[in-house]
Amino acid sequence: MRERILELVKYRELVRNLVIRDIKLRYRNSVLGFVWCLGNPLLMMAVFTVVFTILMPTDIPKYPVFILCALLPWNYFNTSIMGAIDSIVGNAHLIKKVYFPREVLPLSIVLANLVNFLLALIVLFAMLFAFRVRLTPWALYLPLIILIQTIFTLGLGLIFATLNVFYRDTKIIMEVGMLAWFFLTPVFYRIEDLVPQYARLMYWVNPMASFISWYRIVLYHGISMEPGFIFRTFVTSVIALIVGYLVFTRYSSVFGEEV
Amino acid sequence: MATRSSAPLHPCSPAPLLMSAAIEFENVSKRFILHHARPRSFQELVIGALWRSRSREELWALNGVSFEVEQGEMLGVIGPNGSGKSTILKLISRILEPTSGSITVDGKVSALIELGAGFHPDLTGRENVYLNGSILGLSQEEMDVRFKEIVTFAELGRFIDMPLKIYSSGMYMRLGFAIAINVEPDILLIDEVLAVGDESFQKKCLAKIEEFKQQGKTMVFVSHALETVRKLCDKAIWLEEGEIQSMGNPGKVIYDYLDDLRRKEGVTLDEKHRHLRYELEEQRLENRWGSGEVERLPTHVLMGENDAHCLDSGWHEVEDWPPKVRWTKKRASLLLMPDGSASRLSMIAWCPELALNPQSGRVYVDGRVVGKFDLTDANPRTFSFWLPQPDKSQPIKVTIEVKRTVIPAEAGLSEDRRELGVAVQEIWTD
Repeated sequence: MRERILELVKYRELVRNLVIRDIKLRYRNSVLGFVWCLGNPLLMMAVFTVVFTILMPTDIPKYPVFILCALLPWNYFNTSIMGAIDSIVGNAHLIKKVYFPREVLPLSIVLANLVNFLLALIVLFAMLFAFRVRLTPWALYLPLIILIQTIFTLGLGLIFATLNVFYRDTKIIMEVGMLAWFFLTPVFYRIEDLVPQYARLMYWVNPMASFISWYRIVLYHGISMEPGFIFRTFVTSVIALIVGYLVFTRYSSVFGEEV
Repeated sequence: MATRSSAPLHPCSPAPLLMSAAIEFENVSKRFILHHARPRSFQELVIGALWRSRSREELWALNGVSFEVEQGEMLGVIGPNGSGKSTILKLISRILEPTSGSITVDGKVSALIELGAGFHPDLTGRENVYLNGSILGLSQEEMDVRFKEIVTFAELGRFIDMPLKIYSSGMYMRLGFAIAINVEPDILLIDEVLAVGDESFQKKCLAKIEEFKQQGKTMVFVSHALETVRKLCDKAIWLEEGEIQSMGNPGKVIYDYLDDLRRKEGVTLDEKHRHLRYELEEQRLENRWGSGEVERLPTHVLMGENDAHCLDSGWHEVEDWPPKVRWTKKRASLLLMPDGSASRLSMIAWCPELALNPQSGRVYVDGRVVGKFDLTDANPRTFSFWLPQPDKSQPIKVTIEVKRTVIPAEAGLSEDRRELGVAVQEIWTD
């Protein structure tokens, strides 16, 4: 275990290069290139805003900011998980030919999406400014939230990446699964709008609900968070990472013949 | 239980100074569960659980294989398709884990298994070099040092900053090869890469392999090219159905393999292999395998202009036969004159009753090939080569092996027979 982690550290250069490759490739062949990384969240925000302020109006104030606060972290999570699922099977040509610690692949996917997410935050801050949402010192929680969410995402990504090697249905199921998860997470609605017992249940079983609320609380509402809540989410995420890492390393030695 | 012990800090630990095994396989077995018999989806899993009829088809790619490769040694692995050759390479490079047994690998491994694995068509050559370097475990700084050499070797020039998708397949391969050999591995795994690419590229590969040999790198060479294995390797393994059939001197192993092939029903050896087998059989009859430390080539020297049938064998000192040889301190040049009257080579070529075609052959220095020549072009050829480890107390043996390529029927020799004219000179360096 300790050796494996040391080995991973030795391959940090590879992680870095893969992250760079991912980001470069994402925008290299499009006309607008890097602009998409900012334009994409804006367009999605516009779509949700049109639906929930014009077609089906809600009483949520400053809806564009409200949705963007949740949509960006959700996108980060969604693209990371879907990317990680395919990270081993999709790189079969590499896995079969070269040795390197396999966890490098899902890790670099999550980190590449993290970089993307951080860049997209520029848009979020621009919108916060445009809608005159006052930032409070609680916004300083942001790096901590992102860190914990990354830990959680990575743990889950490792599990799904492993599963997909043995059962290729994983990817297909998760495509639907992530859509269901999106609806079961308070991204475009308020968790307070739910039937109270379901809201509580959601906090308990859906860590993403916690993350999303957390982003909203510190950015959109600009109020403080309950420390116990932070701690619980943190513990959940660390457990997810440990379980994910153990599952992944338990099976990664046979990836070479299973992909 | 499968164990895999490896030296600490596996891929980058420096080679130890003492001679020791670079690769050690101890009773290694590898089992594959065949994919078609394995559930690949939940649906099949459910069906399998309900019916229990799913057969678990197993394939033992390797079965109790043990061998050792010393530091600086070159091991050749031969055998028919599906005998487990590539599995050995994949086990050494840690792509696969053994089902049982233990594997020790000491040193950084680079594999010429598939050139350019991990190349991305949308990235430029430069970006791919760095990405590939890090896949092979090298840092940015380490790659900076090697970058120029890689680009030069791959002969890419300005293409290096263009995306790989516009590369020709030759450029693609050259780049992959250049990276694989420039990561300075301690152990190099070669899997039939020489079978691809044009002739000049193959030559380049062979030259690089020679260079690695001189540098004392450990190599494992998997190939169907038996002649190449015999020429290059210090030791060979013949694998069949995952088991070692024969191991040791390459000549002996190849002979065993060909002999077995010949005995098999329905198998006819092709021309090339018949000759090789014949040549090896001659060696075998003369009991020339030995320990493998010293190799003696078949040495039939044709004596005298009119005495063409007088064959001699063994190391032969010929006083009146110096092809023009010039020696400097470390580098030697050897000039062969196809029409020179003093050259024994030309005399061989002149023997009318044997109707020998103009000669082609190889030049060896201390048993290693340094060059090939073909005198059909009637031009003098100069070979230049580095002398291996100049040592005043040891003579350096320069061997010129001449092959007669065409044997006319009227010479009364069976068609299968081929003679080698070899002139030998021992030269002491000053």
